[in-house]
Amino acid sequence: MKKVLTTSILIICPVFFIVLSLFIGIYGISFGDMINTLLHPLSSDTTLSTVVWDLRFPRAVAAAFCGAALSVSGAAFQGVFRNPLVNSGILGVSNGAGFGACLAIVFLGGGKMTYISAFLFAVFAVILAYLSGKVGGTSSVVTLILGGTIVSSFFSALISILKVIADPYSQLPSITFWFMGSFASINYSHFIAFIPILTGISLIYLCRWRINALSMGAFEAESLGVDTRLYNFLIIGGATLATSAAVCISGTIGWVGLIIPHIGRMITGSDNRRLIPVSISLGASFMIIIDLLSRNLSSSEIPIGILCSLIGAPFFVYLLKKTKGGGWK
Amino acid sequence: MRLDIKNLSFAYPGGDNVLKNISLCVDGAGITCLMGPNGSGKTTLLGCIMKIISDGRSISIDGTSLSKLKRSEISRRIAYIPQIHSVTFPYTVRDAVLMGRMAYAGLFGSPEKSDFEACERAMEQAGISGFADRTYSSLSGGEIRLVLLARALCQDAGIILMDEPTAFLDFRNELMFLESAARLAIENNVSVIMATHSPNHGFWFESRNVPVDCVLMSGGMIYGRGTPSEIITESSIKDVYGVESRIISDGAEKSVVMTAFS
Repeated sequence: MKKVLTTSILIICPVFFIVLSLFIGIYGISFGDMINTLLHPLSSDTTLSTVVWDLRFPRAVAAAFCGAALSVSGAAFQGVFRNPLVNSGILGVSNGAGFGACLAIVFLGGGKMTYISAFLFAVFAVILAYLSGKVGGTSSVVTLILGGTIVSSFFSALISILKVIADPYSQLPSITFWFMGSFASINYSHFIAFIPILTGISLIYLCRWRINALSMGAFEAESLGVDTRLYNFLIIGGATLATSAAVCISGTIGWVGLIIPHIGRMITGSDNRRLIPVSISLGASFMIIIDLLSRNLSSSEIPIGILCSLIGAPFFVYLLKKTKGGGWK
Repeated sequence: MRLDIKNLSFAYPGGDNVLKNISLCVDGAGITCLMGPNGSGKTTLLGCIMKIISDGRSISIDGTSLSKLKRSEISRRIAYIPQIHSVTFPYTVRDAVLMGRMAYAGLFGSPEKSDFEACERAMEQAGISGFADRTYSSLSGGEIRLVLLARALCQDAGIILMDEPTAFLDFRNELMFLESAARLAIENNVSVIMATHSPNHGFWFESRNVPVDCVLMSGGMIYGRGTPSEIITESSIKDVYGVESRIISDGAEKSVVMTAFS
């Protein structure tokens, strides 16, 4: 009974915020018109229908998927890397995607190629991180994180080079905005990114109990009967797929992958069997709210990354102060 | 359960052999105290026995070579209580003990009713049911050992390896843990293999008529094996540890006292 209730709340939360975000926006819609548009998505006033079904709805859904992907990947990485301070970009996903996007903007004219290139380079960065961290045939958690850090800084240098050669009037602004993150240009064609996102989230969800053992270290996890190579591959691979796809449709969005899992731990405790579903639901809800704020706080859009960090940074400081008292070792 | 190790040699990648031609058979319930100086290969041997660091080809359980067993199949037969145990996230005691059931779950499995029941039983037996909902970060060293013991119990394995289980424990907790190990051997029919630095552990089990063997290791080889009284002698301690000692006995209890470098 309790389980059914919890599951319902976890599903209802993001759905509620998606519906809420259909109602709120710069273009004023009366409540009656809104209900009419919702009930008759195809037949009613075309402007209303466009605003609700072609602008607000895909944005909210994309925000939900990206938020869920980033936060659940963050939770998974924190678990398998035994480090509560890593986020979903730890293996170089963000900078890899960033480089891919810049490359497409500067040399391929942007557009659709930006997403494809960002996704490919995000996955490529993680593979590079894995290969750099591989020492003597195996890769330990520490060398993997080192590999990720090295690859991140390498791609960050490449991004700087591209910024230098980018056209300062057309290309540079696109690059800058891409890095700040936004759901402003989302439409239904972006929904294809939900395939890798859903695959990644499902993999992490299915392996969530094993994350508990992996967070005890490889030796102990093996002694408990967990095939660490297999589960590390499934979990890190899933997180890489999900974050790469999320980052390539939304641009780099920090904080979510770091903070949401921690809020989740405060609500439900550290057990990943509960933390993973809670992170999915919280991440989705958080990102919908942030996107709602980003398009309503001022007459022009505020980039998502800015809002996340403005809300995320103070919270993170609060978290550090609080956990010193008794949370983790 | 019968554990057979035949001519096991092991080297870490790029290093010299840490274990040299080890042969050892542990058959049936009882305690095996694994002794030897730091660096003599005790922990490495435990890692090999679980096929975590080796390929398991020189080791078999009940006649089946470890190389033929899957990870979870090995963990249903061998449980492990680590010495150094750092927990990054504050799991509850119940969550930690429940991890012992992972070897029984399918590829993407979650714990089921029978797993929760096994977990409760194990906590009951280890005497930790009273703080099942406390988090790891609030436990003392002695309590953590009991949690790890319960985790090994609900793994339901015939062999339990312990790596210096009483290190960092006070006298009372040490005694409690030795008693738990004795109960495991006698009541649960478990074969306990315990790496330990204290020669008195062997004597303690021996004087309480718990079936116990000592295996003394030196430089990656087995120096000797037998009952504690046979193995822990003034001359073997001098050979293996390079110290002079005296073995004191009052008729009921025996104890080793170190006296000087030899």
